[in-house]
Amino acid sequence: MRIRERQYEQEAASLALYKNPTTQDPLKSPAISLEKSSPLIGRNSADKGTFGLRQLSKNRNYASFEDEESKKTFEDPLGAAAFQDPLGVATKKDSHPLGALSQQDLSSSDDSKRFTPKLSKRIGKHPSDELAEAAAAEWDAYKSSIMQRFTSTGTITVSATFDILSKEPKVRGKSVTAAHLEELEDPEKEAREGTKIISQQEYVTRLKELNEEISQAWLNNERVAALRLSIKVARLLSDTSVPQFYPTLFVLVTDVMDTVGNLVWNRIKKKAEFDEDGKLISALPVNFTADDVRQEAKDTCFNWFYKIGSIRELLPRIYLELAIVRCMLYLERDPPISTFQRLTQMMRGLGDPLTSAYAHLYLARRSLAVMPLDSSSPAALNNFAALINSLELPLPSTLPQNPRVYLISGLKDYLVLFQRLLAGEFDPKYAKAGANRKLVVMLIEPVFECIMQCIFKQATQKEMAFVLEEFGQVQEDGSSPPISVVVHYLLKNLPPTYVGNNSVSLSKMVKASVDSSMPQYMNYRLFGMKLCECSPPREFRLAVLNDVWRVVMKYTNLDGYLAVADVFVDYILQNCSEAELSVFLRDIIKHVVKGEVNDGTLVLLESIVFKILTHYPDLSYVLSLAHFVDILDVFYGDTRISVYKRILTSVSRSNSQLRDPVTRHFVFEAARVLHDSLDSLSSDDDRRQITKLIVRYVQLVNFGRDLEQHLAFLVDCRGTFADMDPLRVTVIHASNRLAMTTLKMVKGSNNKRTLDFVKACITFNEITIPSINSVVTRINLFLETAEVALMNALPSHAESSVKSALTSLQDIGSKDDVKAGELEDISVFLRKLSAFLVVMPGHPEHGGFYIVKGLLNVLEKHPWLTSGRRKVQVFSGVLAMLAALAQERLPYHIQNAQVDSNDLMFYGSDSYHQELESLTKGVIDNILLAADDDAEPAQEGFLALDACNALVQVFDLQAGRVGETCAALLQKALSSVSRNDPYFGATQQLCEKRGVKLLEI
Amino acid sequence: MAVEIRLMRTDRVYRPPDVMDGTVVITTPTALSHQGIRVTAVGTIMLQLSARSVGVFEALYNTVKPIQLWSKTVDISPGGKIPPGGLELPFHLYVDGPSKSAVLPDGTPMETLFETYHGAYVNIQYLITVDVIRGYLQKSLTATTEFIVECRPGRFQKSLVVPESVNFYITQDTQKHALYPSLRAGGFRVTGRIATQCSLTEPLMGELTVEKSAVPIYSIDIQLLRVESVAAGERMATESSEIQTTQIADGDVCRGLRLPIYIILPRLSTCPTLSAGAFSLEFEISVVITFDAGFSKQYTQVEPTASKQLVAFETIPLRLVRA
Repeated sequence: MRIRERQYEQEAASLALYKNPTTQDPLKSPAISLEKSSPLIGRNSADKGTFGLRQLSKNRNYASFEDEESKKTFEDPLGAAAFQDPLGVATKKDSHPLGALSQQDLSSSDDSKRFTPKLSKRIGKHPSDELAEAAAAEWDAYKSSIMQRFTSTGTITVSATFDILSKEPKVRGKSVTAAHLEELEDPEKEAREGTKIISQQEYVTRLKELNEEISQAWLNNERVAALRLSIKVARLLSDTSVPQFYPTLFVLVTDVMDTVGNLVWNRIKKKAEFDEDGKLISALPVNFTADDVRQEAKDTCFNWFYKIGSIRELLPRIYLELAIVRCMLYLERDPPISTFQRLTQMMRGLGDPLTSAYAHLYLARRSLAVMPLDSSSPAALNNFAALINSLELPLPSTLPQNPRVYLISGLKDYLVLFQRLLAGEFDPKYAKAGANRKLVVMLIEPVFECIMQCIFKQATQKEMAFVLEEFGQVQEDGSSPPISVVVHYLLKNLPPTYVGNNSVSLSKMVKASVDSSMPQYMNYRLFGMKLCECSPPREFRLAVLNDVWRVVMKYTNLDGYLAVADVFVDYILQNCSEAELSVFLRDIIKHVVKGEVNDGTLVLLESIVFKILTHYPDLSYVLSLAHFVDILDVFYGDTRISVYKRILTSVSRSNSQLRDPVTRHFVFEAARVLHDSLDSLSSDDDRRQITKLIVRYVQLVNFGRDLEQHLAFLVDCRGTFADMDPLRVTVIHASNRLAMTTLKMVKGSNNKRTLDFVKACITFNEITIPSINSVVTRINLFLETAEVALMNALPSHAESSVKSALTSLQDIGSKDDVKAGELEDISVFLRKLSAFLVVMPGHPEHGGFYIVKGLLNVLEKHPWLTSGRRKVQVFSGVLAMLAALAQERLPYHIQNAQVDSNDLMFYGSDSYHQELESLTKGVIDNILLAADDDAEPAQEGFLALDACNALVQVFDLQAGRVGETCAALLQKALSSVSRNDPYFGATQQLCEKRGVKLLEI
Repeated sequence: MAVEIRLMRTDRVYRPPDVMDGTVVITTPTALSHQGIRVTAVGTIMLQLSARSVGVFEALYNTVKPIQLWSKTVDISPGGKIPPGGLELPFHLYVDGPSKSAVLPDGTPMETLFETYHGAYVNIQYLITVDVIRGYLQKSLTATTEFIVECRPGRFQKSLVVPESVNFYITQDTQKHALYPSLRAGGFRVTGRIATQCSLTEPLMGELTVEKSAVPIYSIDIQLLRVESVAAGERMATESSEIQTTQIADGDVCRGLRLPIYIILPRLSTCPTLSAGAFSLEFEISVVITFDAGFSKQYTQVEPTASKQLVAFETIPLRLVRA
């Protein structure tokens, strides 16, 4: 048996021709190269490659297909919405008398459903229909938000006046004044007589039933009864005894109103299209005007307005007129703007702020459903300014055709009442209902929101200016300042560009509006947000900031102050220089120190810090900002953790080396706090995240040429961030890098000082590694350290590292101490170790194979470390190593002149070669043994092939019995591997090339 | 067997001189013989004395018999037979001026037809009746429908009916009745303007401003009143009653804001202001302000009339015209 002489360079070159990348240094990991060069694997991986590619392209195809799909599905509903079929059908039918007739038949049969909005779409679509539907859709969304915002549970006392809520309505016939007086005289009489306490849920249910009842009564041709019922429902809205419930009540009641409105609309439409006997006269054109409507229909329509006009009470009259106001289109050519104007004025008669507010909301809603928003004449609004102030009755008929006109005047009217509320006039009244002013203001807020939205819908610049002038005018003498809640919704609805361009006057407006309806800081916040979206012209940027800050810096409420600061920090970052930022930060810290810091404050402060951190990529710069660190010192508790996390994140995201000592130190402290925040209760995610951040930080730290300092830092890290394995690993890698950097700095030959330093690094590692939990990590790190030590010409250190690694393996008590996956890692490690042992010089006293023997010893003592095929592979590696050592010149050396490998140390030593031979024998035996006894028959063939390959690679086959053994192994392989198997084929080829005489196989 | 009158005009409003077109619809399962079909239109005025102004007995005895103002008869079919199933017979009837002989209770002749009016003490009503006269011992078939007479606009020039309006003001000093002390002490002032002449087809308009009020306002209502006078012997028995109330302010409204007054006049219960000797119809507007003094229950028990002290009002005559 003779180990084959090898010319590595030639082999490498020839193999390189095959373009097999793993064979660059075939001995470094012979087993791997063997496996990789085995055609089976290659083929397999090639297959995998093409498969992968195919899959990829398929994926891409699929993805694009999906895209198309999604686009399609996206378009589809859109198309459906925009060109809704029912409309098309309806218009077609409308132009087709027969069709319309049949539709009439249909609709009479399912009349009950006709007034539900969905089905009413079928009936021809007037432009106002579209308006109405759009408005209805918008309202639906808004409605649910209102319902959700103001849910309250509780009971409502229902007095007998609202007898419709009890199931048997009572008829009361008393003169009105008498009734008034009676109520006045004895407000508790009701309480004694017929109050019921019902839950809000019951109330809601009852109202929904009423909605049904009205529709039903209508169907039964009891229209007057239906009307009477709906008047009673509308009357419910005058009850503000449970303010919290009012918004919900409003939604419910207006649902009923809308039902009534639709019923009347459809009835008159029917009147206009059909005669008494239900015969079609002529369908109304799609965009009919009052001129197309029959006199009879008009009469009916008039009658409805008469009926509603004779309702005694103001509130139900307003609501019902609004409900049917759309029917004005049957009577008048032009949109009923004067009606809206009059109704708006009538609402001045509502003395309760809540009632009045919601009445205005309903008006705004209805006007959206009836009136087109685009203004017909741009000059309209200019005329209107005069109109608001001169309320000459009867109303001028030449009003601008734009709903904004009366919405604005209505809101202005309402603000008079609202100011009384703010002044506390209604406090006693609401106190009785168990509510306070703040709550009522909150309940009214959605009204402002909604009306402002209506006003600003499709508004032109000019109109916006007008609205602003109406509501945001700041008097020189400070009289009648703008109301803050109005200012808030003004700002909310103004487009950012507008805010940007008019920032100076708007800032004055916000400044002037200080009342309890909306805290001023909310307005400043909103203002700031808009400014961030669109900066003011350059020359005003600073002026606006100064203007705002002059007010805000006087705030004593820290939360309010910070809320504004939170927004304006963005503004400053976008538009101002560092000087402003530092002034700003100083102001913040001044406030924070003075104020009372609580968790809410910290959240705001945190957001400010985040914004600054995000804006500047360079952390050192941020930390160098005046007062920034002071602000950071304010944090405590969870927010501190989250801020520090953020800082570390910004470090790891910046991905640049940390050289600045201050930053380094600061971040170290932050990391320490984060580390200390972890305890046994922390979640795994948290732990993982923080570990990752700290690891990244340690990786990025750079001390330049001051390597010793760096090592000291690593020692600190190890001490500070205890019980973090990934961190220890990082520290060790870093220390190894330090050692290598040192070597590089001294150009390959250490002097005394550097050698000491390198020793320190390696010793540091040797101390650190054992504290790592995972065996695999540990042994790999030992090996790495050993490599570094050897590179630095410290063979004894290297040896001790390798020994430590082997000891670690030895210390594994049993198979159960390692995880299944780790076994694979261990065998890989063993092969890697074999490769390293090629250059590792032997022990001067214990002989050249001191470590190798140790390795074999471990393998022998712990057979379960490598099992099955792994055993063959590991031993193949060892065999390859031995084969390399048998060469006269080793395939590779440590690139350090101070280190000699075995080829030089034991050149020509016979005992060395004898020992080598005996070791080789032992290894071969092991291989053959491993190839022989295997528990899994399926693997048997591959085992044999592996063994065969190992032998063929290493031995000169012409001499000795190796050829026979190989042949036998091949033969054996056939027992479980097919002849066509590529691995088998390749092995066979290799054997033949090497001259193994294959018997009849 | 049924008979029915169908008028061409669904609103059944006729303005003399006008032609009333209609059909008599007779439905019968069997053939029906008759001795003529006749349509009669009659206008009557019913006056009543109120018990309050003339006394119970007088009111009972003096109830004036309905006075026929106008009547017209048209025979639309001579005697004959109606085939089984039924028959529709159209008819025309001139609604013209009053007959020459028509005189009012006090002897003055009538110039035009009065407009339909339904009131408390005065009722002016027009009915159209169809009679299917059948033979002896057989009850004739009849049907009656009311129709409405309105004067033809134009008797007054439209331009003449400029809404005349009057300014009014209500303070604690304009009230003749006793006011609640705090009301009188605190004082209030409500001013406004309201139309005093109004076309029946137009809404009644005006405006009202609460300038000041120390006591919160509970409600402001506009009452439309009718003032009906009926001659009873030597004197006129006058009675005013409420037709319609419209609330214009609910709750303590803002001071200084102008509240619009916009009232749609109810049909049938209103007609042009009328004075015909034997009776007259006039209308009034009353602005009623109810204050909310936050009474305690105890107080009202001690002072039962207190409630009335919380009301201030101003009544303004209103002239209604047809234009």
